[in-house]
Amino acid sequence: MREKKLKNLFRNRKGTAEVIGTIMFIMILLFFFTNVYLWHDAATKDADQLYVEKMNAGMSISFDNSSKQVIVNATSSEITLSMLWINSDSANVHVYANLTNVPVSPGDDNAITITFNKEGLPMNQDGAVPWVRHGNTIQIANSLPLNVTFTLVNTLGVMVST
Amino acid sequence: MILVVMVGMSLVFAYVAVYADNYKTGVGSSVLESLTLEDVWVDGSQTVHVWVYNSGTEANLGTAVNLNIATIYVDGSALTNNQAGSNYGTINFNEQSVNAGQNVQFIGESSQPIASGTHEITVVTMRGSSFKEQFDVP
Repeated sequence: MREKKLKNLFRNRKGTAEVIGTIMFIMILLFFFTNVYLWHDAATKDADQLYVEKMNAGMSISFDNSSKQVIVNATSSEITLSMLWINSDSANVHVYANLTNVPVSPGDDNAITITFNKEGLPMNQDGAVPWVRHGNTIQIANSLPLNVTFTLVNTLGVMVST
Repeated sequence: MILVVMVGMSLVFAYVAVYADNYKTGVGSSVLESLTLEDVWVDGSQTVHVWVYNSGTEANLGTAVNLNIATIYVDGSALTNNQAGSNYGTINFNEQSVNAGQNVQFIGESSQPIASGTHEITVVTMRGSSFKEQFDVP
């Protein structure tokens, strides 16, 4: 009796197309959701990787007040500079040198020296200051304001200040 | 009946495809947003200049992630947009996008004078990410 019922069930082809269609539909939906999940997983990994690169992109900045020079060092891996902020609260100055794509390799020999012209015009209140690069030296034509502080940003978004 | 099911399934299929695409370009990309608040300058007592840098470049992430700033808060109070445009006087800063690798300045106005001392600035993007930094006012 039971065997007969099973035979009838397998012989009956009614509804086969609907079952196959539903399975295919679910598979297509699963494909899309899996796609989104895997994309999100890869995006999170990329974000984590950038975080690790930021942690490893060590750099230091120091200012010698007597020579009016800023020394920039990469402490662990090669970095690419993005911006140098030159701020003075007492002189109300917030200017920047857009140092885009200046690479700095680790090691004292590869340090970048930023110089300022003592005889140059004072810096404006805000805006960009022009600069030229000669080897490992960057020259800024303006003179420095009093009580100056510097903030350096690299292309990974890491900041260091004096 | 078959026609109804076919149309229904097609609609659901289209919705899922559009949803997946919107998620990737929209809220889903918020995990990839990377913004550095590189300088905050209080000019006078209420005008705040905020310089941001979008480090979500192709070199850093494998894909360039552009973003739009929604609102900027100082100590929890929203700044009003002080730049010319249709958002002038509102708390929206979304007119100007910050493309990958770009440094962009936003100028906002605080509703009350910002006193001397350390303050916290929060920048919120249109995708919902928020970036915080502290700054000093002399």
